Amino acid sequence: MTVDKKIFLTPISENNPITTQVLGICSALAVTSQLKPSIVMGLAVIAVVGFSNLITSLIRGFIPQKVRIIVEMTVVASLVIMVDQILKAYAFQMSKQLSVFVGLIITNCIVLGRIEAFSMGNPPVPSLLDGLGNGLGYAIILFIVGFFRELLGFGKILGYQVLPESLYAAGYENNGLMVLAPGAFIILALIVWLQRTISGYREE
Amino acid sequence: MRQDNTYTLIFLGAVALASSLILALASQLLKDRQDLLRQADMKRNILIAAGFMECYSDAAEARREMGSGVCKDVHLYYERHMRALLLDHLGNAVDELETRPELIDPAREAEKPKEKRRFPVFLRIDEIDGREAITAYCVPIYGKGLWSSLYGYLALESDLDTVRGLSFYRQGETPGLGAEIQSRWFQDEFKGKKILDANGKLVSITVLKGKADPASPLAAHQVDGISGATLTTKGVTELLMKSLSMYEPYFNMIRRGGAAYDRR
Repeated sequence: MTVDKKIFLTPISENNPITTQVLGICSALAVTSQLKPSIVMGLAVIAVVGFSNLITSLIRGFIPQKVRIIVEMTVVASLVIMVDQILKAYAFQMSKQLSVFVGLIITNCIVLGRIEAFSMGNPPVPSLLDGLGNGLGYAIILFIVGFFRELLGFGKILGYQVLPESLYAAGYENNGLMVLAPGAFIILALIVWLQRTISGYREE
Repeated sequence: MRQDNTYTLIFLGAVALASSLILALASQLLKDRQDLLRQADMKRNILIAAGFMECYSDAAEARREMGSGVCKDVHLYYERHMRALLLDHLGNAVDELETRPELIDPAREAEKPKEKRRFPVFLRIDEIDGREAITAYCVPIYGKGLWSSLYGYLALESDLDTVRGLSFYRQGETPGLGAEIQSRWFQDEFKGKKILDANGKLVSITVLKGKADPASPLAAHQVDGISGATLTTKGVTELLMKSLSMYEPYFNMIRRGGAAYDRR
């Protein structure tokens, strides 16, 4: 595996920002009660992490050390506002549903974490790949959580009824816990368990 | 690396300038589109309050309502079925071509002196026996919830007493609790409720804490509350009364047999 490929792929699996680094949990709980907002949120974070990594890497030689964090936050905040504006212009209902959580991408630890840990010390192309990989790693977990919460909580996928009426007639009921934040906790924990069982990863 | 203060200040200034320029450009480029979508969202909510349930933005929800019509283009639907007019604080229609009734922000109106305030009304016009008739009166409702301002529309039947529908389109209440005021089941509760008592006095509608008793003499003026959202629903009760009383002069004029709008 080439280095670039590795930079892009490890955050999706063994070094996943949510399941291994346990970052970005807040938004992973908040927006995943349905699949569609999870997808939009995932895409928004991919864009922000990718571009903020690229931009900070491009200007990293010029940033004075003592105001490093301020400059990084300015870049991130500008990108997040940009994403928010684009959502408002092209996916108004979605931006209403995601409300404050788009703005809160600024405080998502993954974004600043990747800038500090990677792009400030690496050239632009690997930084972009690292950002996209981490964003994708975050997004995939959101997709999985959103999929199961919508399926179990509403019996729907992307707003379409998938569980047949006959199942409800036989006494099945939607699980109200899945609609609330604890439902996301449970599914997230199951994913972490499954992943660590397969990879053999242990906290030291 | 260069570390002196002059360099740092210049660098920060350049970063700030560059990012604000980019954001200003983006906001300018996207503004028209955003305004259009925001207006479409308001029109959609006016239509839903007035009883066009097929305008629900949720595709699956809208499909279930089909049969009454298909709402593909909200703007077109709105132009065809609704007529907007503007009132002053005494309930008289005013002609102000430069003010679009859809764009009036009730929060901003509340800050103006009384005589300057403008109140929009949206009339649902249906053709009955070949004649145009008003079948619903839709007015904006606005007030404070627990954390945020709540914006919505309430529509009355042509008797100006029975609620035809209600919809909230903007709120920032707690998801899962207060934010439930935007949910379908809560808004559907209001349908068929009465805002006037037996003497024709405005009593509005009260959101109770807990369940409403259907046997109570006040049942026609009460709806079930949302558990865990007492303060939000208290805000809803207050804002309904406040918003409806502002339109009482106009509604009373129609109840006495006046014309709802100039039919020229």
